[in-house]
Amino acid sequence: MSESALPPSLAAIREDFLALSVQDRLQLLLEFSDTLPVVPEELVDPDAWERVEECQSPVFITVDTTPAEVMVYASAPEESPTTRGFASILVQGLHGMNPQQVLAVPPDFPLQLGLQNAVSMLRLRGMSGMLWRIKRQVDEGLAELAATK
Amino acid sequence: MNLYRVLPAPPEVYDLASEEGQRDFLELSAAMGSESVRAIMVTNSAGDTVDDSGTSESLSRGADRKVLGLLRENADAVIVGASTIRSEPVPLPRTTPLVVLSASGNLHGHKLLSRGAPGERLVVASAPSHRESLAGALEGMPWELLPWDTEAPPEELQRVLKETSSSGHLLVEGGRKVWEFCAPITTELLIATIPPPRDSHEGIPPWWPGSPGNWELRSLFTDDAKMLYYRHEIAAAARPGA
Repeated sequence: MSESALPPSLAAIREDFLALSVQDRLQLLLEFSDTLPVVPEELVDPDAWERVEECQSPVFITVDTTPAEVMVYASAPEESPTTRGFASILVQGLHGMNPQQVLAVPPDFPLQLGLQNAVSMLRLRGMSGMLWRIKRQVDEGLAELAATK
Repeated sequence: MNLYRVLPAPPEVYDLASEEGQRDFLELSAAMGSESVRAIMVTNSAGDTVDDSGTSESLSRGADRKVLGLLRENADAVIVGASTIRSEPVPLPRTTPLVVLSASGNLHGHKLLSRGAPGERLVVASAPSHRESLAGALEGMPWELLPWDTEAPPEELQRVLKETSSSGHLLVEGGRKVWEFCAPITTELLIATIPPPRDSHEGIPPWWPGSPGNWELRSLFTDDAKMLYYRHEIAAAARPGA
């Protein structure tokens, strides 16, 4: 995958992970877990949340798409810090990017964080599921925007 | 996130997302007597408590992590084994001491994580002769040694563990080796499963602590993911030391 395919914020997160030892990568993941942005209730339609079925934990995502910007929101339980950390990475890395930047994120991004030896593939597949669903929602959002023009 | 009480009657709904629901659930599941060793097991229908990855990740669903989190917060100490902290990232609980039982004294490759919270406390129960090896594995992480003779009878383990505890409420989270040590002193067993765990020969899973007749089903819950939660208490006559 090319370096330019990643939005700058997501690329910076990846570089932060890869600069650390495996143990410290886990510590950084925990920090992301602790900083998953709180979603203001008034910003999100309760019916818009999509369950991420690939995650064992109850993780939900929703995306607002405009031609210029994508707003990504996620909810994940504090009791699942690994999964919550992955959700936080995607929210902090993709929120505010334009739709094309989000759609260009390679599907193997979760494998680029250097965590394969630290967390199970089941968890990494959960993050892949989040990313796939975010991109699918962006696609659908763009289609709706095109239809209303 | 709801937990539905099926037994004892009457049926009750606990909203675990609310403080009131959490409080009501904790009151119902309050440890009996002045001391308890509570164990929580997440299993599949075959009674397995771990999957191929060596963790309970694929067995977990519904409200089980939330229930575990609540029980952790309200225990005096949480007990895990070396295999648990090697197989998956384990953040130190914010307010409850984490006790790692280590018969071998080898914690290399652990995935313990610290937030640096003031309430974090890592205790390793192991033989004093393992202090140096433990110090190497836990370099950079504050910890304390709880001297424990692995050859001593189970009651000695309970006595040692109570040193980490203000009122004697201990929560055993699992690990095969840990369970070998803790099963004889366990007084309460919470099993989260879909559907009830059954061994093909005896009708109970191999890790079941002691005789099934020693245990009484006190409550049964389910949740929105159709997970079942069986809470057993050991009968008074079968309590350790009775």
